[in-house]
Amino acid sequence: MRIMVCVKQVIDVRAPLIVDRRTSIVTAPGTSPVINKADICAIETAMGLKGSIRAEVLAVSIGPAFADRALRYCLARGVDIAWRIWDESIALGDPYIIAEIIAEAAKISHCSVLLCGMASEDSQSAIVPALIAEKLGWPWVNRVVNIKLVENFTGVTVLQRGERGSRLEISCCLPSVLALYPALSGHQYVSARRLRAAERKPIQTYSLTQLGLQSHEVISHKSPIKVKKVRQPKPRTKRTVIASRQVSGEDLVWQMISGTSGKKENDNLARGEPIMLAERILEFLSEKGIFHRTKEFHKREI
Amino acid sequence: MRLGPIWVLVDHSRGQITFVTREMLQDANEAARPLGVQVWAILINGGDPAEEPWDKQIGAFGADYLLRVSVAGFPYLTAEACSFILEELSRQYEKPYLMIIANSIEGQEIAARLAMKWHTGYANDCVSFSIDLKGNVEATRITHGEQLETIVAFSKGPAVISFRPGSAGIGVPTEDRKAKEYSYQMDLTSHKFEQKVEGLLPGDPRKIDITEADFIVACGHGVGTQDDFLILQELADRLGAAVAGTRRANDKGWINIERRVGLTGKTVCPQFYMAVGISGAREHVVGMDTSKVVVAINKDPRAEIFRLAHLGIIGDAKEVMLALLQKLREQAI
Repeated sequence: MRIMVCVKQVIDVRAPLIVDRRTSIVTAPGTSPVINKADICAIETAMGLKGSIRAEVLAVSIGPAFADRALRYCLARGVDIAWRIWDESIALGDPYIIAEIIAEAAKISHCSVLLCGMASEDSQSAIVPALIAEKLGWPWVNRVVNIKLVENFTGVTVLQRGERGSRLEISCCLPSVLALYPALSGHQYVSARRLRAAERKPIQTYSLTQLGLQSHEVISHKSPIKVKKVRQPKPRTKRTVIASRQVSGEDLVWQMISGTSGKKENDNLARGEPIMLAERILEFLSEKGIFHRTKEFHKREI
Repeated sequence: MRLGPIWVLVDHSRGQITFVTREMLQDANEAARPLGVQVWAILINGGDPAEEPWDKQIGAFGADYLLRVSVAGFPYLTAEACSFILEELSRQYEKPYLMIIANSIEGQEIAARLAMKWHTGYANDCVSFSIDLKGNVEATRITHGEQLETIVAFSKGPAVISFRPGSAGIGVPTEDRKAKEYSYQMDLTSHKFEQKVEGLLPGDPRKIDITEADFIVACGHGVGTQDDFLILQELADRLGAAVAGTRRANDKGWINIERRVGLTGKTVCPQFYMAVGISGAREHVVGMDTSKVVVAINKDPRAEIFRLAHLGIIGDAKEVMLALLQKLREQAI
């Protein structure tokens, strides 16, 4: 049985980012690219499956030579085979093209399970797993936190993450696409010795032609969604239910300037009587969609 | 050029439409008026029509029509089933020009699946959208770890977007307005889905691993005493949150080591993190600074935790907790 894992190398989004105004290309100067968090979860899950059923694990990444770094990590972690797919005509920012290529790679690899992260940290389009499954005609399960293969490898039972820590146990047939929910911990440490050993392992490079795709087909691919611009977030005005009569003169001026409730962006501190502060917390949680002011809401957990 | 309607998938919780649904409806209404298109609110399994006056709630926030869908033969509605229902509705009624779905854990998946069914584009985690007079749809998405925003344009319809809660705010509802209601019955007993639901395991906030909790109430040294910690525990139970804490809270024996957050504990990334009596020492903050919404309660206005809090409450932790608990108890009566 073969398990394919999709690995994406992304810029470190925790670092200060710079956007090229002309091309909308985003860079993080002074930092090295990192493997997408959810993809690391996919690698860890694949390793867990490999240990239990003796599967062969294949890691696939799309990108120029620098993508080798991510694949070297996968090899050090225990992946058996690494493929890098690259052609100058590939637009790395277009999820529709990426999904098309991954789907072709999955067909060639004859894998039974395709594991990937549910979204990348940079573009956060969260559509690639759905597109891959659509192109392959396979079932897909999103937000996967745990996978168990059924005894004769005809299907898979997964735990899907739900709202508020709940889990849904779902079964579906194989082959299938499983998109992993990013977990922050539980990743195994990869020693420097293993990383060094992985430097000597081969990485197979594939072009589009070798996958059975034509460059001009990929270039002319019509994506239904186009990125127009990437920029630093601009302050947005928000609606307000009604202007309070108790607001101070300063706040009223802010209301006129900003067209909102008169609060500055960093004005997030509240003081006053405890009961008023409690009301402010509930109002804030309600705004964020975390708390619903219904009588029944809190009876559930008690 | 005649455009189709705008559909909004209603996110509801026990008889009330959620804050994000109100935002979506008002935004849809604002986009629809200049174009003369209608806003349809799609409500799946909204309970008994006699008991829940949804038409008034939904109409007040800008929907022209309310389509109540009653689904039988499916115990738990998965994202796959929801997207199937929406696709089915698009065959029975006029296909929407724009579909708006709340950007919740499930909402994202419903939107992605629907985009696949309609062979169209999907914009995830949008904070705003617009339709110009030519019918071009544009949406602004939050990307790159919330540091940047990306403006995308749809070249093919219907456009599907998932809308981030709290990004637009809500205005004054129109009290005397009602949405015209339609009903639609659907039986999914004989339909075969790819996913088969084997069981639902509800998360117990007291037992689940804090790395998986969506809501966390964390305690620090500033909480005070063991009795005050019990108040915090009750508060967490009322909010449906897991309890976590700092190293000092662990040292005092209030929490186990598995519930410690920070450099010497776990790294968490919940939807909501309430830091009570936590100063915000770097050793703790590294374990929770990626939390989506942070509320901090501390009596020291210079506490470091306020730097990353979305809402900072300056006051005595015990008094604020008791007041909050009182409010929650009142709501539960």
